Amino acid sequence: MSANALDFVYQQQLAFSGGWKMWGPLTLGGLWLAATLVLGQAWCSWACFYGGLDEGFSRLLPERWRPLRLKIPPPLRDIPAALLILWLLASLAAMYPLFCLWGCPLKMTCGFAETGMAGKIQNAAMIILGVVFIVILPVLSGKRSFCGLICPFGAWQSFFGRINPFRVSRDENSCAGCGQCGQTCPVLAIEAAGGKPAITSYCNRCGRCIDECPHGAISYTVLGRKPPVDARALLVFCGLAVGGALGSLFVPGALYGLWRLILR
Amino acid sequence: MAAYFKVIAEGAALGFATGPYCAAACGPALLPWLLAFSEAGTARITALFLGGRLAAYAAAALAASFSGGYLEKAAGPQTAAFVSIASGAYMLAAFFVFRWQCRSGCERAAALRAGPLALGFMTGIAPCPPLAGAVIKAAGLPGPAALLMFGGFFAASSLFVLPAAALQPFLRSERAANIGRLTLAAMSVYLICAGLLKLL
Repeated sequence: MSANALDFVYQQQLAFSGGWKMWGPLTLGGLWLAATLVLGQAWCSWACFYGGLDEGFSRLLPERWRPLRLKIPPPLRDIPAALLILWLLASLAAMYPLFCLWGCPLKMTCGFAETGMAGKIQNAAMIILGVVFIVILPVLSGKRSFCGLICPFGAWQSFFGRINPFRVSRDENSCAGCGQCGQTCPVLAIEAAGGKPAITSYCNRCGRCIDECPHGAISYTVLGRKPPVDARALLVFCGLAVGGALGSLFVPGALYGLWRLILR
Repeated sequence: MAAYFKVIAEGAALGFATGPYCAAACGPALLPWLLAFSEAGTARITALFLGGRLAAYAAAALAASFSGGYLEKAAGPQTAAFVSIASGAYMLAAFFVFRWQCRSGCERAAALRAGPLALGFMTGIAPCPPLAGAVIKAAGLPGPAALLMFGGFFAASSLFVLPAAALQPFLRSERAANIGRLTLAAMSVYLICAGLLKLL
């Protein structure tokens, strides 16, 4: 244990002394905190690259061509929270960040370097899981199934994202209970509760329900109130700024690494 | 007498030093159970889990003492794999038996009572660096001294697991129990798969 723990401490020391190319737990934690303060759970819809992949594939087919209607029974809605606890406990027991090593969807692009039968089986399982939840299910159902059904970071953000003031709120008086928002929600975060839809803590603040609500009963709010400025524009600006800033830190490096790999 | 205190102190020192590892190793088995069946009492579940660990350590102490260095060599990755599979299978069975609701009589159900005990025992016998250290130490001791050494090791390392007993106030909602049952199922699949992969 101590060797692994010290490894992370050393990694952090390198991060502080070795320039921005090195990452450590504290620097990543600081970036996460900054992004969460600015975006909260809107991170998943407006800045996360897996969310972008999910979103892109979910819009490939026109609605009439989608053969699958994805629904999730209420008791299973908390699977992301359960998977988050699983990853945390398993990572603690192994003293490795297992989600980054095995659960991360980008394993699809870098996992082929693994050797040994066990590693190859793990790779294959994760790649299949990634393809099913990021490509196949979104294409067939039009829902962001990775974000909505299995992403543990989404569950993490649904808990800690509460420190962010942006919300998607439903006006009780204007809502007719037609359920259009529930059918529209790409992450299955709107449940019917007592005839009226309820926006659950897994809402990604994507704003699709705001566009689709025929009665205009759903809107972005800041600290529970409609702000004098356009809340959506403010949120989208923050999202793009944070996503762009974070992406520019390592996407060019990743693309350069990929280019070198191809040339080799 | 001083010699006995010395071996207890040695075991306790090892337990204190490796306690965080023990707590992290117990987490995958103990916490999902606590979350899922908190209505049976987190203090009771934790106590039973530690009871299972104590039984495992007593067995390990006696086995190490009587077998000399053999146990240290015999307990390899395969034992860890089988323990992982067995723990996962037990948790999966518990999930299917008590899957969604535990409306009444949960605290009296024998299987639930035995669950933490069995999981504690299996976690206790799973080979890990702290246990290997204790086994190596116990191998050179006579039976009673080995038991005392493991007693000190158990008492000190258990201090790091004990906070789980105080989780009851945070786990009262039905949603927490639902998340716990889903975690139990997910963790059981993970443990079975991890065990099978270790066997390859």
